Formats: sequence, structure tokens, C-alpha cells
Amino acid sequence: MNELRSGRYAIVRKYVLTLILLFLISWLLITTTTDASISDTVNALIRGSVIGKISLGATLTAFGMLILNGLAFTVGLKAGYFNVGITGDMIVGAIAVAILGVNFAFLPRIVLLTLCIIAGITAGALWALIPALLKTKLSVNEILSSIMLNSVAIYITDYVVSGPLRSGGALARTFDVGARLTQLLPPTRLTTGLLISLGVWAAMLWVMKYTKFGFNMKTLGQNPKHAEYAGVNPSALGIKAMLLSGGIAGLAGSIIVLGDYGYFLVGFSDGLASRGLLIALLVKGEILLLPIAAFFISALSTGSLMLQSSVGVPKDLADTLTALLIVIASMDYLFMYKSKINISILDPIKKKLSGLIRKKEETK
Amino acid sequence: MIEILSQIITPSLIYATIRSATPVILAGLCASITMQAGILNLGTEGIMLTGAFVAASIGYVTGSWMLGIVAAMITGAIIALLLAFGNLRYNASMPAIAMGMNLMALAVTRYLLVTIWGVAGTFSLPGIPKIPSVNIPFLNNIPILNQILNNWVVTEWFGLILTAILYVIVFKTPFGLRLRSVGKMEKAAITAGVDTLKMKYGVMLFSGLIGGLAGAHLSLGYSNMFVQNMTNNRGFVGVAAMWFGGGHPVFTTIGGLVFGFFDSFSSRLQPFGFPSQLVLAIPYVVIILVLSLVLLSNKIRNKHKMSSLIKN
Repeated sequence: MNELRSGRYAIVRKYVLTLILLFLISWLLITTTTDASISDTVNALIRGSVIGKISLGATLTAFGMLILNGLAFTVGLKAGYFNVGITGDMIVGAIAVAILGVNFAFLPRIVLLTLCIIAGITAGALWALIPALLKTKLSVNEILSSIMLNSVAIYITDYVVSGPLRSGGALARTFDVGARLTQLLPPTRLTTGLLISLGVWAAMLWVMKYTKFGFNMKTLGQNPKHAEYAGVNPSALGIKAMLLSGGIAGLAGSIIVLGDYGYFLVGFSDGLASRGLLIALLVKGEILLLPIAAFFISALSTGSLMLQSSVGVPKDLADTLTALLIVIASMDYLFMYKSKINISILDPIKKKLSGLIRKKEETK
Repeated sequence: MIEILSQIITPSLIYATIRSATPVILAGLCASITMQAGILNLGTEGIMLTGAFVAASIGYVTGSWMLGIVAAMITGAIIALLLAFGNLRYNASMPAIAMGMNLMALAVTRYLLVTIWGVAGTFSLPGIPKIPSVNIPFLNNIPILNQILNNWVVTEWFGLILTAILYVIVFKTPFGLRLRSVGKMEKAAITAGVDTLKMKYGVMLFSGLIGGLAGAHLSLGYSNMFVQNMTNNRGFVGVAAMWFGGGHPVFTTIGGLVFGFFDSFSSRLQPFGFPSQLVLAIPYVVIILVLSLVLLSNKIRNKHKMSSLIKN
């Protein structure tokens, strides 16, 4: 039974069935609530996500962000933290970068960029430290504390953006920062931030495979009791993991400020963290597979922007499907029914058969 | 400073507290009843938001606030049952499936707001009914009591009544005893012949009904419209209030009132020149601090208990 459940075939089938279910539900949603046809919608999604320089640039920008968000979430999850505070970590990292980048614009570009990124990572990590400490010292549920801290982070940055750093203009944003990452595909927002994201991804693969920290994390993720027996201190490791998770999220925030926009824009993080949560759940902690899921989801989210303008389907469809995928992906036993048939339907028959055979043998 | 405080702390602050506490109290009760069976219902936020949307829509179509509430409660129960089904049958971890459900509620209500009502963001038409207020005639002539106790919305009274009802159910009935045994020690409950699975499904259903009511109160009682993301983390604040009270209905309600007090207190600070964004962050900081203090005192108390055991 366990072989079947963990077998490759069963997992592939699970993903295929999940996609079919997703397609059916979106078909139902689109045909019942709008006038658009499904083929037009799919067409617009593909056109809006990967065809053409502008679409591709937008998708790749989102792709880099999602890799970082997914990594941040996965790292927390491996140490037993359901880190929904990534939004807050990202915002705090981004505002730290904006404050530094606006006030120290006179520094040479490389120095300023390095300083900004370090500041962003540190700010994100420190913000993530609060729920981590509250959980290990006082056992405050990390989901609740992170969600409250997200609100606090949003209000504080709103204050900074509307007060001291306000650029004045229609957008709620700060002044431009003094230095920006190099653009890769000029009219689009794609910058070297993507390369940084991929670098962090590769580094995390290495850390998980070859370092003591990674090994401990893996042990903790697979079997907490065994990890504790083997001498891993779960709370110390958890705090380290949360620092790392917040640091990665802070880096994501820095890349958005230094690369995508060049300034801090209120509400930039909408939906990013939830998509990161989704891809982390989809790959179930396999960091190697993370980019595949990240690309699929980023294509879906950028393609959905096209839906509104070309076929009149609200762009919230993508968020709905993302959330639906989270719900489906969270159910471990869904679509693993072959093994369940073995337990529930065939077992009684087998038992009866074996009982009959035994009776026959007894009568002989 | 004292001048400002004397202007803020007036008899009307009591009703303001009740007003902003009620959605949180109902959300907290929604979470506390499942906590008795050992389930942390983090889906409260999504249940509330969907309930608010359904209540506003059905209320607008039928023109009746009662039907709006009933529809919201049914929707809440369906979502809660889906959560229970995913969690208990398909082994989904509660945080994951609940966060998915919350995000879905946010996205679906936005999607339906555009496709059904053709508006983005706010659905506010004169046809949306309002839950009536309770007018107690003899209080009209008593100055301060009139301000404090008169003209509460029906669901605001009901929040307090429901607290009492839940207290009686959980602590004074055989059903409540079985329910608590499921949360305290499931194996013992199974041994005693309690159908724990049925109990968990039942309690999630009940929780969904309360959560739907909380949402309906938000869109028909607290305000008179539906705004996207109008719960604004109130569901999670409710779960925090539940945590504050350790799952006990009465203490959950007290937790909700504490939040309501700081919420209305800080919103009254705004006209005195404090930056509005920082003032709005106060209730959330207070929640984290209060929750930490309560858990710290629990920890110290447990330590004392342990040490007294060793001494004896």
C-alpha cells in the first residue's frame, strides 16, 4: 500500500487528475459567469504569458519572485513553521531598501546596491525572528502572530510612504532609489534579479544536500522525533530556518524595489506570498522541482492580466484557481484512490475468499 | 494627555466597543467550538468573508435580512464541511487547506462581485437590507443607560447570548463532556464509545453556521454593504481571541471585547493628530502582546504545578 502511495506513477497520476479537475472547474466558472468561450480564454492566457517579448518578460520577472517566495516558504515548512508572514518580511525588507536607497543615493552604485540588499535581507530576517521567538519561547501560534505582524508591517510602511518618503503624485510610492539592477529585456521589468533568484535557488539546493544544516533540516522535516533523538535541537534549528526564510523573503522585497520598480510601491506584494505558498505545497518540499511549479503559476498569473482586456474574464480568475490548487494540493490522499480501493473494497472480498478456502480445506 | 483621554473615554465608548467586538466575538466562538474537539479552525476568515458576500447578495435579491443570514449560515456550513472533509478524510494539514480556503474566499468573492454585480471593490445598493436594532422603550428617557444599552443590532445581543448558550452546551451537558473528551484525549473518547469522527464533522458544521452568521453580521448589521476583503483579518483576530481564552466561550468573548476596546479606542485617537496608520496598527500590536502575556502566565503556572508535584 505504501509503495503505491509513494510510487512515481501514482504521483504523476495525481498531478494529471488535479490539472483535469482544475480545468473542469475553471471551465464551469467561465461558462456560467461570463460570455467568453473556453478556447478564447486559454488562447488569451497563453498569449498573455509566453508569446512575445513583453509577456515573456513579465512572466520571467514573476517567475524569479515566485522562486524566492516558494523557497522562503519551503525552508520554514521543513522546520515545522507555517510561515504566512512572508508578506510582512518582504514588505519590511523592501521598505528598508527604499529608506537606504533614497537617503544614500550619493554612494557609488555597486556599494549602494550591496548595502541595500544586505539591509533588505537583514530586515526581513529580523521581522521573521519575532514569530519564531514567540513560538519557541511562549508557544504562540506562528500563523496568528505572523498575520498580525503582516498588518503591522503594512500600516508602518503605509506611514513611511505617505509621510517622510512620499514622492507626491498619483501613486502611493516613495522617491526613486539611487541605484537599480541591470535590465535584461529593456522594455520589460526583467532584471538581473532573476539571476540572483536562480543563484539563491542553486545555493539552497547545495545547502540542503551538502551541509550539516541542510541535513538536520531534512531529518527534522522527515521525522521530528528521530531528529531530536539524533541530537537536533528543534527550536534552535527552527529559529535558524525562520531567519533564513525571512532573509530570502527580504531579498525578494529588495529585488522588487531595486529591480522591478526602482521605488517602493504600496501593495506591491499582493498575491505574491500566496502563490509562493502554493508552489511550496505543490512540490512538497522538493526544492529541485520548485522552478517548474513556479513557472506554471507565474505564467497563469501574468496571462490572467490579458484575460480582462481581451475576453472580459476578470483577472481574479487566476487567484481563484491558485487558491483552489492550494486546497487540492494540501489534500495528501486525494486521487490516491488505487491504494484506498485495496483497503476498503477489495480487502473484505479477499478476506471472505480466504475464509472460504480455509473452510474448504477444513472440510477436506 | 488627560484631556484627550477624558474626551475619548465616554459612555459611548462602551457601545463602540461592543460594536467593533461583535464580529470578532462571533468569529472567536466559531473557532472556540471546534477547539473543544481539538481542531484549530483557521478557515474562520474565509467562512466569514463568503458569508458576508452571500448575505449581502441574497439579502439584496430577496429584500429580507433573515434570508440573507440563513443563506450565509448555510454557505458557512458548506465551507466548514469541505475543510473538515479535506482534513479528516484526505489528510490535508489544517493550516494549508484553511489558508487555501481563505485565499479562495477572497478571490471568489472578488470574481463574483465583478461577474454578478458588475462592480469592482464595493457592492453597496439601497436595496441591501439592514439587520434591525433592538429599541428598549423605557430606556429612552434614562440618559447614560440609553446611550450604552439601547439600539443594539439584534446580532450584537445574539453574540452575547450565543456565548452563554455555548458555555452551557460545552460545560453543562453530556454532549459537551463528550465533545471536550475528543479534544483532550481522543483515544479515551474512542474507548468510551464516542464516535469521534462524527463529533468532529458535527462540530465543524456548527462552527460553519456561526462563522456564516459572523459574516452576515458584518455585511448586514455592522455595515450595510459588501466590500472586497471586508473581514480584514477579523477572522484571524477571532482565532486569536479564542487562543486568549483557551477555547473557553466566555473568555473568548472577553478576548473579543478587549480587541473591540482597543480598536474603538485607537480609532478615536485619530482626530488628535496622531498618524492614522500607526494608530490603526495599535490593536494588532496589542493582540500580539496580550496573547504572549497570557501564554507566558500559563507557562509559569504550569511550571508551578510541575514543581509542586515534585515537592510532594
